[in-house]
Amino acid sequence: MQKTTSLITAGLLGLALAGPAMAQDFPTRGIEFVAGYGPGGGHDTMLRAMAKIIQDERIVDAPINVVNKPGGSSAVSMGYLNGHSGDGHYLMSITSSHITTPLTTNIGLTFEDFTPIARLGIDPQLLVVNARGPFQSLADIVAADRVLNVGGTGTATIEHIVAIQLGEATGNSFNYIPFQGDGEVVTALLSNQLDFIITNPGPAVDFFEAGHFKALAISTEARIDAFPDLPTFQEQGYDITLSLYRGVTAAADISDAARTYLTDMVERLSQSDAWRTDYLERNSVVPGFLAGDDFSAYLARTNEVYRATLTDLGVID
Amino acid sequence: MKPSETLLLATLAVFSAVLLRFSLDMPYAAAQAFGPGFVPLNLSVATLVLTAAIAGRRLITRRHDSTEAGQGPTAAPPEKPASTGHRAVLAAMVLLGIAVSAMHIGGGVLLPLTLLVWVVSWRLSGHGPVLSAGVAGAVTVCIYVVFNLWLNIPLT
Amino acid sequence: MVDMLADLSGGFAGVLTPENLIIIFVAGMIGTLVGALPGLGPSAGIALMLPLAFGMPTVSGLCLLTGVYMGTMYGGRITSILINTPGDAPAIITALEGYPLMKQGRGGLALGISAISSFVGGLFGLVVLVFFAPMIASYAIFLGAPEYFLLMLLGLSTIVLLAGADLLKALLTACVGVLVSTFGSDYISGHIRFAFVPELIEGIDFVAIIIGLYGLGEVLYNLEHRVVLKLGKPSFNLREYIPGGRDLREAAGPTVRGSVLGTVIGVLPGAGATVATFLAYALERRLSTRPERFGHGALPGLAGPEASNNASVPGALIPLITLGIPGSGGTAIMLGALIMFGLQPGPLLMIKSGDIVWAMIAGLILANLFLFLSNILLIPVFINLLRLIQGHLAGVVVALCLVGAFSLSYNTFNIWVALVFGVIGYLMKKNDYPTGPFILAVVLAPLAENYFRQSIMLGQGDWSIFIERPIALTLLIMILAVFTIGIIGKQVVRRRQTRPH
Repeated sequence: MQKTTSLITAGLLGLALAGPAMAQDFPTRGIEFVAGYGPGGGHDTMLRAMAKIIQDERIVDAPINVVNKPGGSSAVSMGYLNGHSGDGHYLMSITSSHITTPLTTNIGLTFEDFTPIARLGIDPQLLVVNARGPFQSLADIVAADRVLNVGGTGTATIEHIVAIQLGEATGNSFNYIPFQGDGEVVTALLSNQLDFIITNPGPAVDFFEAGHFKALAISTEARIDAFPDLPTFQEQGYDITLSLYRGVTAAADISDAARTYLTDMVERLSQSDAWRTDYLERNSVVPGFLAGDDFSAYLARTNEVYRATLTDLGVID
Repeated sequence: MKPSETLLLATLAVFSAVLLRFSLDMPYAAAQAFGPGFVPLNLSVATLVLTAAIAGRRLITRRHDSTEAGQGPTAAPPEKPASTGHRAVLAAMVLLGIAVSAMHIGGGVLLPLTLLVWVVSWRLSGHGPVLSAGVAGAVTVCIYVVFNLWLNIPLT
Repeated sequence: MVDMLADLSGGFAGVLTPENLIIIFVAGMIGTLVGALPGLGPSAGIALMLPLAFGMPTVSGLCLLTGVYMGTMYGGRITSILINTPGDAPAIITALEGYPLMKQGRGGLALGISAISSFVGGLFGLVVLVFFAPMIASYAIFLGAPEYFLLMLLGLSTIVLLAGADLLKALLTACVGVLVSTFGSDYISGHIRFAFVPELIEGIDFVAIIIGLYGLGEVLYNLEHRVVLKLGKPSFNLREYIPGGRDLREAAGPTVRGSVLGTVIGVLPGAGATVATFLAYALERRLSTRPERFGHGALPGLAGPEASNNASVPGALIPLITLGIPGSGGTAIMLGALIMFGLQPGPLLMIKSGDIVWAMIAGLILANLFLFLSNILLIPVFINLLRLIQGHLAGVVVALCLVGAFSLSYNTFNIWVALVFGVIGYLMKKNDYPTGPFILAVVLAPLAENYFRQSIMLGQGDWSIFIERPIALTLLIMILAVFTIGIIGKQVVRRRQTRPH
């Protein structure tokens, strides 16, 4: 009797051990990082930096391969990842186009058709003026007696939405002008063609140091380490907390083991010093790790903000 | 009008008509300047007008030519169509279409490409089947080495 | 000026190590090869070399990348001249004038002249970069949407020059070009136009269009007419490839003008090398005493645009190193590379990391020199390579075109695009519809459309923005002058032609 019990115990133990052992069966091969844009672009650089740090720091042993699936403002890569539903060996970088492309086109896929893994960082939005211009504070801008020209990249982008929300919050009417890229916006502010711009820190940070530009507000909930003296919009009485996110998502219906594995991998990545110094600081990205259901909820909220703006602008019905 | 010109003008007319139809769905005007539908709408109308004008001009000059030709005793004989050339071009287009379809369905570029180069070299450029196969093989190897191995562009 | 020479010699001191010299030389050759392949231009060349560059010390890595960048500009002209397939957009004009020379059996001359013009253009741009970069950048920022719009309009007005005999046909192809350019997302309104399939969301890839229109179109046309290039037997007699004094004199003026134009336009963010080559071409044709030779292998039409093409490389680097603002696709990827190397591109780059930037500039000067020498020496190789395969060109060109189109986004969609435009290009060539206005419209129309809307928005709905800004007003007057002179000139020519009858 004693013997049988121990046998059963051993069997149960074996089963119990088999559970984690099964989980260890993922990954069965290398992990593929999918960039929805071409080599050299923002997605590509982020994934390659991730791959390098994960391998250098031995965060996981599985080989990592970055592939580019450019085209259609990430629609092509979404289609590609959707073709691998149920397979956890794919991790795709995502940012605002993951939400705006499905909203403005009929590709038949949304962020809900994937398994959001984590937000790795945010690009907060800054209100920036020319340091030699007449506006030295947010109050100056609110008190302006003419319609001010404000620049940002594209229409119905995060920059545009911040400008709209600011106009609604202050009661001013701003004349928003879309530009094609960060560089053109910065140039237009340098030569005083614009009164102020909404931008992420990256393209402007060197101009702060050189004394050309001055930031008047930031769209985070609290001040950030990179700009300790820069007050938030909220501090100044305007409830604007919108940021661009940079994250990763996996295919739909992947196993719990795969999901845990991927989440754990990027979480450990985000805690490493190399990630902070070699990626986040270099690209002026603010840490903002958010995993699992929190990230899904964040995506859903962001989706609603974009949907509302695009509808108001008449871009979608 | 030559059949090839008719085909070109017809293609362009259909193309602009389709864009005209879809540009109607976009706003023509905006609060300032103009909306996204402005350029496509106006330009597709302009394209339609221009294709019509060119086709119309062709018809008028041809009628003009034919009446003149009828009066003159030294009417030039109609240009003989280069039928073998036409066939070669049509064959090349069909072959290209088949090859790209094969790439599209199969996912790999190299195999259909090799076969395409072989057939083009053999049937259209007039080389022997063996030499053509050699050329196709050499081209494929060069492309594989440069694009796939060296530049890491996934051709297969 | 003396400061800059001191900085530059410091830069040379950093670069002049045996390894770096080898890296620059090899990078130039790689760039030449990559640029020569249809579909792969400067952006692809730099991007593909990025992983390799990061394994190197900063200076060596940057030398590799800039060497490749410069090399692609040299390489783009090779396939344009040899097989009428431009490797990238700035090489279109080269195909327009260089390929006819090739068909006349003067391909070696075309390659030689274009290499010399490229060298002079590149050198001129570099000199300007060394001495005047900060000054030029401080002026360039005052150009805004109204000036860009008028510049694009000036470019579009050259359609009249590219038109050939039949203005109606030219207008038709230009209109179709504008329509083709409207596909994809419109960043001004936020709408996405004509995205019938997801791949069209970003628009139709311009390079796929030129691969089809010129490369495949030419193959189809030659198949029909059974054209076989008669290039003779392989020969290594160098005299055959070195341009004579008369040819050099003919190319001298256009090269100088092209260099200036390329540097100036390369500085403007967004405008870039392509616009520079078209304007240089238009300028040479306008100045030429024998404009009827253009399109049939006119040396000035080859030399001017080639010089401007290479002069625009240092030109595009000026806003990048002084302000951290990329002026072209290639420099946008360079920007990413600088960040990855731990530099902070922006107004302080020259102050914080001046030594590295000067070493990079010294590397560029060396790359330009190496590239010139190697490209001259390689001419017999290219010509003889082509002679070797002249009977098999159809198959080889088709293969290169299809693979090049595939490389644009790693899928078959762009091959389909190239195929469609190949058929259209063939039909256009067969029926004498000029491709120049079409391609010009594809490049410039979206820029003109967007800058126009931006200008009006900057003026808050007021059109006076075009005449209140001095540079804009100057450009406006120039455009009116081009049109008036163009129309009057045409009538004078017509009268002269009709008088003898």
